[in-house]
Amino acid sequence: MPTAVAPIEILLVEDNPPDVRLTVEALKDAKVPNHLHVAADGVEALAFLRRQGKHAHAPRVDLILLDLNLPKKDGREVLEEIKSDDALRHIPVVILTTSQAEQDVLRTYRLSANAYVTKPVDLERFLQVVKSIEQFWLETVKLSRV
Amino acid sequence: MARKRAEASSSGRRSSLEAALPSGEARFRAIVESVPNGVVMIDGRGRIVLVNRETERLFGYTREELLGQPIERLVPDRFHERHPEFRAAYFAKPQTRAMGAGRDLFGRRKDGSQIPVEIGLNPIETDEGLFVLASVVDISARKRAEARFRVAVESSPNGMVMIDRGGRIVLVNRETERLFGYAREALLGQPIERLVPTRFRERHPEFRTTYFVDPQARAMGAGRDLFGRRSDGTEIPVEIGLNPIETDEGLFVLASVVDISARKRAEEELRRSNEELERFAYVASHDLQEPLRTVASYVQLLARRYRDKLDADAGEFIEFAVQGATRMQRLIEDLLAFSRVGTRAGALVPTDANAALDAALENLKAAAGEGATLARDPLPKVLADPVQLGQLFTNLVGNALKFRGAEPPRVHIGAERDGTQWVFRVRDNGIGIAPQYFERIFVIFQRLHGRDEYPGTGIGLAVCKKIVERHGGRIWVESEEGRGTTFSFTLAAAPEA
Repeated sequence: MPTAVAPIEILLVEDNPPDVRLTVEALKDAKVPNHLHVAADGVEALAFLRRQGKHAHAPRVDLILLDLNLPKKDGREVLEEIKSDDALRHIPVVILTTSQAEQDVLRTYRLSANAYVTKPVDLERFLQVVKSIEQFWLETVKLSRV
Repeated sequence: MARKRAEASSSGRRSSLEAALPSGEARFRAIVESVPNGVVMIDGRGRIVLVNRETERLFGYTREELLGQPIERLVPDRFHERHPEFRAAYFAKPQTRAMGAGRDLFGRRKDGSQIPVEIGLNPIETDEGLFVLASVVDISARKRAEARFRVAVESSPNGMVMIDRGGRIVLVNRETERLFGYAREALLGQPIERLVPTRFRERHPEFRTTYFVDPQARAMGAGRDLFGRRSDGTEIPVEIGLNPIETDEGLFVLASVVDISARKRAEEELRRSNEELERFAYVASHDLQEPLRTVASYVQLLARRYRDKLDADAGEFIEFAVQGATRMQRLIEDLLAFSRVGTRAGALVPTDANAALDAALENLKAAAGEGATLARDPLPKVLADPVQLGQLFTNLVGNALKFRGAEPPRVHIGAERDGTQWVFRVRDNGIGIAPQYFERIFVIFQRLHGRDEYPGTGIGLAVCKKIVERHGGRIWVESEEGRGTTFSFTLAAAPEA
């Protein structure tokens, strides 16, 4: 049973403070114990994942929530780097997009994320999204243990 | 046989043959009299010895006034002086031929007016010496027709260029001079290729020859962009209509040339402006979503956390704020979907419409629900963007299910061939649409019903129209209120494999 697992280390790559805060609030209610880390741009996200510079003591990340519109390095580039890095490739990535159109754009680049989530306008739905991310996590854990 | 004819053509023989005809003289006069041309015979001194009734009519003289008079009486004053000289030359070398070789001829009437004529000359040898029989045809009517033709061509707002079989320019009008920047004299007699851009010149004579093989009134260039070359070397976009003109001098082609620079500029402008608008709609709606989400989410968070600490009014206000934001989100999503029809378009490829419909019906499973009947004919292969064809079916069949009447919905999807295209039909037994809304339903964000009756932003049919038009097709509706609706659209058939 996954209830006994150590807290999930989640990296949220998001530059929009209201969205960061909303995710924080939503995860407060999550059933699965978690630690949420936030990177405000793509460069910082990769540094965190690779434990470079001030992130030398960062934990191993279990799940990445990646926004597409980021300063410096956008989400598409971050995804590309993660998926071509042997040390990071295994980490599940959930892409947060603001529209169906963005997903289309991403697909045209043939980059494989593990899931796409369109940020909903509605708080209830946002909370559901967080729940489905939890669900997704549990499934992934189960799979990797088989 | 040949010998016999040689004998017959010898003049002495001929007159004796004529004499041998029954009542020869009388018969000859009767024939001359009844000929519809003016007939005038003169003797070696240029005196009129015979005229017929038509000559009297043409020139306004009585027979008596003409007989014995010099032929110059019928010649305009300005040619009087030289005419005896021409006459002498003819008698020196008589043969059957047209008079005046290319010059315009005129006859002088008794009242001094002139008429344009054509004159054929025939030498007649008799025992009394050489006579000349002139046959005179009044060509006023033809000249008038020619003049009218010239005026019509000259005053045409199009450039008119006529060429002969050899591709030489034989006629141009004022507009042609203006369009191409040449004086008329610089074009007449020149090959038409002078007006053709240099890069097409080599192939043009071939096109021209082909046209003369099967000449018919048609547009030149069938779908290609045509250009004319001006005297300064610049080019103008043109449209050219070709018309074969049969004349007694052979076949000519009259080309009508229209300068379409202004239209091309307007089209280009429109295309650019449409593209800009599409990009604008995309960027604007995309960037609008972010702040909207923030507003909606935090209003809801307020409600969630502080529900118990606020009063009933506050709850209602929050509800309205959330509804507004949610609706705006839908509108923006739909606007994006609409602009994506143009900006995220795939190539048109041979597409199995059955597969596209399968995909659409899969999407609509939930909407169809219990009791809906879907009937489908086998569908053809068409030239389409498969994703957009699927979207088209989703929207049309989705509407058919959504706007259901009292009866359980029945939807029929079929297609029939019409020339090079297919006409698809999606028919339902739903609530129908009043005729005054047949156009309006295809306009973005136009709705016919309250949001409580039927949800939606009014994007579906606008997307359908945009998809169909992007494919070069047409979409329309037939409907009777309360009886049902049929949406039809056309798509090009896929080329046979």
